[in-house]
Amino acid sequence: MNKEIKKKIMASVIVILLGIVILFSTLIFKNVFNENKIDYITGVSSGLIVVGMFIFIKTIYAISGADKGQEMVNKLQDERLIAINNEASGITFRITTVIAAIAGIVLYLLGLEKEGMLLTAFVGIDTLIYLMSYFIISKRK
Amino acid sequence: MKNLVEELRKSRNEKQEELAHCVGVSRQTIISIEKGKYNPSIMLAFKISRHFNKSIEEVFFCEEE
Repeated sequence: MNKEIKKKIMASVIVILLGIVILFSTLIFKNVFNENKIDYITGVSSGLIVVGMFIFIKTIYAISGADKGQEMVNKLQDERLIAINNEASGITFRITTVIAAIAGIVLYLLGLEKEGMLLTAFVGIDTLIYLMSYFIISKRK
Repeated sequence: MKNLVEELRKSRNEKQEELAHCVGVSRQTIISIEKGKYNPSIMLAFKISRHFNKSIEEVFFCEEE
């Protein structure tokens, strides 16, 4: 089996397991959380399970036929699609960082200092992670 | 960068899908390369050229050339 397909199957299994673990731990530690939090966590974990199952079934279906399997491998390794994905990720990062920074300042000015501070701290951490990954990748390439 | 991928492929009566399958990319990538919208990496350019039994320079070239 192709390495990329293995990675995809592994990722979907991890997502499913994560969803199941969160779901069961919420049910076990029922008394710790209030009802609203339980509903929220149950929703998130169910979402993880559904997404994981969807990716898993889609991947298994795709590799069921020899041609389909090769097509999927080609799509996963396609340099143009990878480049598009990288560019889209970069744009998303920039836009969300700017929106979060603006929202943080606006919240701060509106008197919601704690929320504003949290959001700007998030922007700071996000940028720091970006710089760190940039540095690590530039060292490797 | 310009290329002769479309001409070479058509001369062999080959479909875009077949070429894509041989060089390990999607059909959309072959379409983009043929239209000149996407410049392939050296590795992919090498694979495409080798598929047509040509050198990279024979298939891909700069517009000024």
